Order: sequence, then C-alpha cells, then structure tokens
Amino acid sequence: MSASKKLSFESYNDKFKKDILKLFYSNCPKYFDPIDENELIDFLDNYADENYLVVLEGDKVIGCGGHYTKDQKHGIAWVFFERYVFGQKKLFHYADVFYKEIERRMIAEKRFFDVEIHTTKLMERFFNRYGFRTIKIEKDGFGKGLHAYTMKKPLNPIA
Amino acid sequence: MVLQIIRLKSNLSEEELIKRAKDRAPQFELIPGLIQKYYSKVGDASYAGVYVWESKESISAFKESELAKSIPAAYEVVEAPDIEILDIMFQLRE
Repeated sequence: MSASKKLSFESYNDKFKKDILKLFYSNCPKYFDPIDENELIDFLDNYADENYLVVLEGDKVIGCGGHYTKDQKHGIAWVFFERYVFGQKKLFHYADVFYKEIERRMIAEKRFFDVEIHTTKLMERFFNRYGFRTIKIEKDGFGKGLHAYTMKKPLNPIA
Repeated sequence: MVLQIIRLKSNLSEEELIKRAKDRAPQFELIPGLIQKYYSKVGDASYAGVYVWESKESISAFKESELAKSIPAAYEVVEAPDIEILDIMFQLRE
C-alpha cells in the first residue's frame, strides 16, 4: 500500500464538475446506474451548496459527498470515491477521514438530529462502520432487484 | 441495575467541562431512577459519564428529557457520543 497523503476538503464549485463526473463513471454500473448521471448533474447544478464537499488528495479530486438538513433530519448525498485507484485499506482510511469531516460539520451546526441515508445492500456494511443501522428495506426501491435501504444514525444517541 | 456509559469528545478545556458538569449536576440529582453518576476522563478531550440506573425503563424516561437532549451542546461535542449499556448481574458489596 502506498502511504496515505493528507486529504483536504473544498466546497463544491463548477470547476470540479468534470472530475466528479469522472469519479461517478468509475462507480458505474456497480454502485450507480449510468442513467443516474442526469440526476447527479441536476444536483450539482442546482442543489450542491457549501456542505457538498470535494475530497482532494494533493490537488487531485478523489471523492465527493456532503450533507443537507431537512425536516429535522440530516441526510448525506452523492458520496463516492474514485474506484480502482486505491487499495481497500487506503480507501477505507480515506472514507473514515471523510465521514468524520461530514459528521464534524453536521455537529458544528449544533442541530443534533438523526442522520438518515438511502443506500443499497452493497453499502450497508460500509455505513454500519460509522454507526448506521438499517431501519427499512424497500423491495425494488431503486429499480428491479435493487432494494432501497434506509439507514439511520442518531447524532445524539443519549436522547 | 443497569450501567450506562456515555463517551464523548469535547471541544472544551477540562476546566470548563468540569465547571459545566458541576453547574448541571443539581438537575441530574433530580432524575428518577438514577442511582449514581461518575464523571470520568478517558483521554485527551475524551470523557465518559458512567450512570448507574435502577432499570432500563429509567434510561428510557431520561432519553425523553430536555436534559438528555442538551448533553451534546452543553459539552460542545466534536463527534456523535458513543453509548454502551450493560446489565449488572450482581454486585460485590451490599
């Protein structure tokens, strides 16, 4: 494994669009259906705000994702890293650093809502790693054979 | 009896954290079913509240309180607190 480099995070802006689409394609078709591309572009053009982050290793874009808050819930949207570039150990290390950053930003807002995400079976164990638990499985929720998993993590598990 | 361990990482200095914990202590003294609470340090900026409860029902009632909701903000946590709940099987001394 090559040594992990220090990551930095920048809020999304248009200059990153091309790189993010490249990362997206690297995750098709295993994690995303290529027809989701239009939805992603719409998100980037119209909804990505300062909480949508680009992950940089040096000056190279290697990942993206971010959080939003709606109806007293936090959500995490469009999270992915470039595939086939990193070994699993390094990828998990980078994902850990990135998830901590997203959670840090949610907590800095001082709104300790639950974090709810919508994902698939493929990512269930990945999000278990950060304390998410599956609360609902919708059969064929993302298309035939692709069940939608709703997972939740309370930012304040005390209450 | 049930043991509940709440671990948190705080942005506060230790001195400020202790001050806030002591300021809040009278409210905790009034919680029904809370037999004892130990304020513990785990490591740098890492702390744990160790609660001894009469029952899991006491914990459930506490979870609904404003006091429980206020803990992360009161201690300026930097990540989601971690909770462990242990059933006490028996105790050494009466």
